[in-house]
Amino acid sequence: MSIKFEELQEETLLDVAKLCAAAVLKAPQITGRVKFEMEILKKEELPNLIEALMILGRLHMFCMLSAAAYSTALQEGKPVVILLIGASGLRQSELNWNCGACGFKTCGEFNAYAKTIKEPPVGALIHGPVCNWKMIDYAQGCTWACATAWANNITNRIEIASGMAAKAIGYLEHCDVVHGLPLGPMEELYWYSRRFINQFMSYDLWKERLQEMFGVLFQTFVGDGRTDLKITDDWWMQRHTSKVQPVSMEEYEEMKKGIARDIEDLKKRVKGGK
Amino acid sequence: MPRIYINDWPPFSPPDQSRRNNVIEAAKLIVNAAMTAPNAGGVSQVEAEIVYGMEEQEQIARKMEELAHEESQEHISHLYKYEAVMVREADCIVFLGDFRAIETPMDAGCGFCYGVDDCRWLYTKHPSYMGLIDATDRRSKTVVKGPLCGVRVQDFGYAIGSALWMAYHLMVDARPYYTVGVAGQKLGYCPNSPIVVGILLAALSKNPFVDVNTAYHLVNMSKLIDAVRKTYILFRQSGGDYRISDPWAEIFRERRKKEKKEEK
Repeated sequence: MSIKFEELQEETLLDVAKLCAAAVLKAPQITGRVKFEMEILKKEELPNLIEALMILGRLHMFCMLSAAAYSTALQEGKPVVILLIGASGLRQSELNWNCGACGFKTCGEFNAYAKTIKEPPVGALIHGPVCNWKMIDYAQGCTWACATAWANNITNRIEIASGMAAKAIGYLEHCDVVHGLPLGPMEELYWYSRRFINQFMSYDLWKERLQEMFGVLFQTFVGDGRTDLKITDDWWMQRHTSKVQPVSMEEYEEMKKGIARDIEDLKKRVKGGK
Repeated sequence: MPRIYINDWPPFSPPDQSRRNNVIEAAKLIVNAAMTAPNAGGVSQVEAEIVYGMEEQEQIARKMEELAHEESQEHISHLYKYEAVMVREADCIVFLGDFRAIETPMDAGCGFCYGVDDCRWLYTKHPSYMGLIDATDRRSKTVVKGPLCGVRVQDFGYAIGSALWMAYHLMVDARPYYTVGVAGQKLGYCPNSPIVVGILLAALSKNPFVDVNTAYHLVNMSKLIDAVRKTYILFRQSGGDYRISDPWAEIFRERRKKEKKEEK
């Protein structure tokens, strides 16, 4: 009796996820002190993760891009699994190299400061500060997982976004750093040249951001002493300018508080459902 | 028909140099792997140098030994001394550095460096003007002039890991070293980077970077070979002349005596 490969895709991705996890543990380390912990998320767990990404996406656009990627795959019925790569012990250094890379004169000073950061702030991508050398070793593990997926012809992209979202709602919560490695869907370049971005990022919106962020590309004669931008074909008819203005820190802080509340609610729901 | 004869002994002999050349070719691919490693936003930030040759490797090893004696902590001093031996035994060294780790950080407020959701640690510890970091003062009381941008450090780890992945797949033994990177940086390799790691490469029957014994700077293959050269030369002189003491010569002499007797 034949089996349709579509039915085996998630199983195949899970098999590759296991190989990727093994690669993380085999990866070389400079310090030899990083202890990894890993979990694999299956499609049933993706809706909660997507919700968390969308909440965090109010602060970090790249989380929204990630949410769009997972949502599209789910809607299209294409399996994706996520290997969560976590590590703890990065916030303390027993190396005693006193190298200064962290900005503290000694590992002891770093350790004392790190203990004062009990919880990561809402906007932080990881629970820092971390020892730089241990972080390098952690990253080596992640890149070995990516290379293993690649060698097995599984499209993938190492993400801070899915890792931080998963940790925020309780997965590998005790780890200092958690990155997510989505495996699949089985198609070329799903995580690059991302077709699903078109659904919420219109060309006009993108163009507006380009003009705001890279105004120098559209700058008129600067000798006029004005910051006039050429943003239309007949730009001399309607001149534009980009004005520098302070961001409202009150609004920014309010937004972070709202995100913290929403993440906490979601975490309660996820933990209750686990 | 052209032939390339390869043998790893004696070191730096023409047959060994042919073998080393293979590793240099591998090193180029390894650097490519570092360059194409994942990184935040695909921003170019890694620089690399490939170094090989007896003189060049000796210079790096000596720098490490110098650093070993400047280091007040014994366990780090030992690392420098032991790993200097490995530098001499390596076929080739790849230096990787991240040139954005201080001067052009990610500015993402990620929390890697200080545990807060802004970049204040980096911008208050390094002089800056309107958010532009002035990294021209490269003097430092510590080995690395930190703090470094955490996202860049993470990406630097990806580059090192990818380099090693490629090395392993090319069946070239490889390990990344803090000490080699520090020495290389002080000698001017990867000149734009505030953090440098040295990856030692070798294609020998025995991986020279593992199974390393205590006091490796004193007890290693090179020292043992030198010990044989030193002691055996004396031992040789303690025996008789081969023309007299060789038992085969004695048998020959006996036979000649016998033959002469018979002739008479």
